[in-house]
Amino acid sequence: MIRLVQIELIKLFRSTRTYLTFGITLVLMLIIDLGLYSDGDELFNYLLQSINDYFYLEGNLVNGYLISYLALNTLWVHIPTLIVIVTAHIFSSEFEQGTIRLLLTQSASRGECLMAKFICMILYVICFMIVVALSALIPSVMIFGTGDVPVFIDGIQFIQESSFLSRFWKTLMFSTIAMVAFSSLAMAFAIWFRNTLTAVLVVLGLLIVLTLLQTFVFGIFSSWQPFLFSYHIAKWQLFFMSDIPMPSIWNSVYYLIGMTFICYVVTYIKFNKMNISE
Amino acid sequence: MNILEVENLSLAYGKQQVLDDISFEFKKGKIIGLLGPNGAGKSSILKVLAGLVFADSGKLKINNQSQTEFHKVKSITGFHIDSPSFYPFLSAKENLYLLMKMNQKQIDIDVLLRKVGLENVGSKKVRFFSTGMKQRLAIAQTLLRSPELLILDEPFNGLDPNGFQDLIDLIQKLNAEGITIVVSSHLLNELEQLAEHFILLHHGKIALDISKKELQKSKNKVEFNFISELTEASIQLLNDKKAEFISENRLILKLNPKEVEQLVLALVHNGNSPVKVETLTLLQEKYLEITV
Amino acid sequence: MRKVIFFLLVLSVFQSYSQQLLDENIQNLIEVYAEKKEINCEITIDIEIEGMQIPQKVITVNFEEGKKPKVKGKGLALVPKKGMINQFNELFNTPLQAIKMDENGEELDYKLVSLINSSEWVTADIRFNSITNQIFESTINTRKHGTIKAKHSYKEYEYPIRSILTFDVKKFKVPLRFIGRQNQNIDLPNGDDQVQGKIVLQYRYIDE
Repeated sequence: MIRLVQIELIKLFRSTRTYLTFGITLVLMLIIDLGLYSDGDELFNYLLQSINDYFYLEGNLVNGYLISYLALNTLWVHIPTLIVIVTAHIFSSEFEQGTIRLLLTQSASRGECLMAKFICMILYVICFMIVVALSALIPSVMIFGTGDVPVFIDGIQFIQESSFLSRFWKTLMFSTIAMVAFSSLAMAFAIWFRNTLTAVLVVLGLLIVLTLLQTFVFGIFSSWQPFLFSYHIAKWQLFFMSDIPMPSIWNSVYYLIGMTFICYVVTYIKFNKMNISE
Repeated sequence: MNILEVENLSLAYGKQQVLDDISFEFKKGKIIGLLGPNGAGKSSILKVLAGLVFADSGKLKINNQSQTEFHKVKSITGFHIDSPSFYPFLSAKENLYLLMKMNQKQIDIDVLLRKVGLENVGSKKVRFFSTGMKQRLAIAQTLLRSPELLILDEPFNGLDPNGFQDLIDLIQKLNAEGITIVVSSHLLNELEQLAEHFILLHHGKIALDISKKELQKSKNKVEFNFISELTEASIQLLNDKKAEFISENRLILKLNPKEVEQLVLALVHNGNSPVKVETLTLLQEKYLEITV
Repeated sequence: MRKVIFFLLVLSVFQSYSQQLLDENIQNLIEVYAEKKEINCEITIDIEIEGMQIPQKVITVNFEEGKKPKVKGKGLALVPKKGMINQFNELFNTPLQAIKMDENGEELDYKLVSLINSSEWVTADIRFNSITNQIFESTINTRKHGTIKAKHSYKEYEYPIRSILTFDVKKFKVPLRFIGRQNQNIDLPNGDDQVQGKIVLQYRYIDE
């Protein structure tokens, strides 16, 4: 299995697409840094104006930790989009390139091939999230320094500088699990449709629609929320509450792991029974 | 001895019966030609053997040992199915290296590339390869596992005459090393040169299953064309042979190759020298029957 | 015309006379608090306001008469604009009128009224000890920031070691939906939405 995973990693990291997603992430973070460097004070003074009526706000408001926290909001759409473009391609590219016949006529079984791709997908997601974390944190801290972070959840919460890093890394770990689950869904659609673009569109469409439904709180959907993956993916925000509700987070972790498992099993069954006649 | 035996193989895509209860065998050490027009079922057979498509029914023996699943054929076989596809962003060497690693084999890739005539382009990315180069690379990848059996699906597609001849030479060379080779093609003349056994498919059934030796012994349709008027002696001779006259100077007879030689000599002796003698083998005759 | 001038003259004399008529207790307070031009202290701030969660902060503050407090501290600190110890200086540096409301032995209740429109406070109810000049409670009505109530605890110094401030503040809300939570209603900021805020300040004076 290790050699199969190595082969998949070679294919992945020889593809231009992989580096494009890393590059786009770096550009995204740079834009956030530049934007806040230019307009950050004005933006936060506007958001905190009701506090300014009663308090002097002393200290380094627009600091590297705050910017890193804001960068995490790319976890809503930008990061899932960039991830699934590559992860769906890991599976459907073989059909698109015609190399599926080449792959399946070698000595490895279908199950082994799929597992190797699945492991490669997980490793890519981990790599990607590390790039996100480092590109969000390092430049902004170097330019803006560190400080407390005002977070707009249930009103306003001030997260202490000393606890920020551990929250940040826990968020990244949780988000990695979330992105693996999301990529597993993309994997299932990629095998089903045998096409990267279709799989990406379907999976992103689902994420956007479900997130919107939750935002508008239509009565008929409110009881479905715990069953929706978008609800659980969004739980990374809980790491920035003053008292982190770990039971709720663990529930979401179990859900996301379960979702990954189910997507894998469904894909395994489909792939093993599939006729490759093209 | 048979390297592969298949019995009662059936496959349907929905309501369309692609392979209809066919049985065949591949003799060890031979070159087998799998023939038929487009849609006959040639590729389907090969895809079933490659484990790409699942047959509805069928029995398999590999080297006289019964097997339960068709994908076991992979263990002794190198496959080249349909148009050759490789990872375009990798070079020829890198593609072969990946496949070699996948099969846990250690082979000198340079030697392999030399064998197929690609030693000068090993570092070139496959996206820049011509069709002929990709065909050669496809043959190279089939040899990575040192197989007993090679299955090549339409390997002549996209080849120029030089490329075609090179491939024929390569196949013959590999066969001389003891590898059984199955070549599937719709190009009858080319396959007739190469193969020692022929399986002709039509609408999912086997229309003809014959060895080259049997073909040579069989009576073929021979067309004789004359310019000059036939003498009475020649007419008598031809009628005795039950010739079918298409016109005054054109006729068809069923003769084996030796009989053709004897008849030509006799006709010349009678004062009629045929200007053209065209032989349609039994294989060609059957092929024409099913494609018309 | 002469009558108008005479009236204005009498009014101004009456004003200055009434100031000169501030009783001894208030004069003592003025002496203690108005004279103090600069204070340096370390303050531990605990804020309890609905819609806001902020951890305890320790800051070093330099209060100078007429200037914005200079704050030093780690991270972000919310420093209340009203109710800190510089309030005393502000109160007693303003021309005012003092009215005695109650007397309970050493404990006196006074109502202070600002005599100038430019001051930030309008009226102040104070309760203090006439012997120690320590103000235990105050209710200050400001022009811009509503009413601030304060309770002070003292050790030996004339300035408190602990103050509890309570005031009405607009509930801090941001109209953003937290998608990770169930059964949330969208909460839009409402102009009439007032909650009570509480701030506990603990002082340690550096130049004591």
